Amino acid sequence: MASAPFDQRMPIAIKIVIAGGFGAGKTTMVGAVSETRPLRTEELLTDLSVGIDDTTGVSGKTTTTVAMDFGRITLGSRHVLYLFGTPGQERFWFYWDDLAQGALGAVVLADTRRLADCFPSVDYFERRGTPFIVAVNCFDDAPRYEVDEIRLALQLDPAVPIVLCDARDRASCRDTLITLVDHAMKRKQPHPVA
Amino acid sequence: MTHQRPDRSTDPGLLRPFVVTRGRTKPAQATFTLITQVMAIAPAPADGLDPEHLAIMRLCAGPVSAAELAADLDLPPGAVYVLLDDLLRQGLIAVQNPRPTDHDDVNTFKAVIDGLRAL
Ligand SMILES: Nc1nc2c(ncn2[C@@H]2O[C@H](COP(=O)(O)OP(=O)(O)O)[C@@H](O)[C@H]2O)c(=O)[nH]1
Ligand SMILES: [Mg+2]
Repeated sequence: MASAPFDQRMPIAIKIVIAGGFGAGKTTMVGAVSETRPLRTEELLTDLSVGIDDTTGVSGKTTTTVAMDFGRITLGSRHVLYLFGTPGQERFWFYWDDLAQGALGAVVLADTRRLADCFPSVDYFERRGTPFIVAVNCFDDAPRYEVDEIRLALQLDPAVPIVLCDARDRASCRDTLITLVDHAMKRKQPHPVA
Repeated sequence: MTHQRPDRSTDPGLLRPFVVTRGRTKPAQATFTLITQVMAIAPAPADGLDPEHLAIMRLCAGPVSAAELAADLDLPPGAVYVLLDDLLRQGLIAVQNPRPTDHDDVNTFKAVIDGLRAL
């Protein structure tokens, strides 16, 4: 199928992953900027997911239900963009490879009240080589930091953009996605021709 | 063509996917991803298809992703992949996986940026 010619009847599908710690605003962002519907999936528990506590056992099989944020943005007639929020808990790490595989890039949402919660996401995309940006979700009662302070705290490569956003605001989420796509494009084409 | 209907009183979450796919957990042929595009290319035959197959045929009259089918059918993606494989082997649908080269084309990025700006 990979070698088949591109079927012009169908659009080019693009995937972006929205990551970050629990409560960082992933569900809010996916809902603000796309048509969403819940996507649930069952996982057979393996040694990869040891430590899962609330499981359901039926006839010897042990599974857990993982709910993912999932949204669609139609971009003209030729492209369609899908957003996937990572399952919040790190115990679902085994899911991330599926989501990150073939993704154009990732937005890591950071909450400055719990900045450390986004370290695992940053680590993950750095190690995988997935283009990502950090979006600082500006909660009303959160301490305000300069972007440079956040970059230092996250030990983030200077090339990785950091933006401030409001996950509840459609325009802010749209601009965050544009920053990511632009960053991913520049990584592919480090010396753009004018 | 009869098979055990899912008993939702037992465990709606676990049992149903395996029942609708008759115990198969992996598609025999094609590989599918969450964003694989799917589209009906022939009318559904009058018989021989299970209700879930028919539901997919209705939902993919126009191009749609495997993830959207999974969400709309409330089935895990893995079960939807198995059903899609059945339909593909019967020549009822066309499927298209993202190509690794999609991300090599600067025009793809530009089209996504333009599309987002227009939101
Ligand atoms: N003030 C403020 N609240 C937000 C923002 N984004 C999310 N929230 C709220 O924070 C809570 C957690 O957000 P949610 O999207 O569920 O986080 P998730 O766990 O990452 O999916 C919800 O009650 C949201 O309404 C934001 O930008 N500003
Ligand atoms: Mg959430």
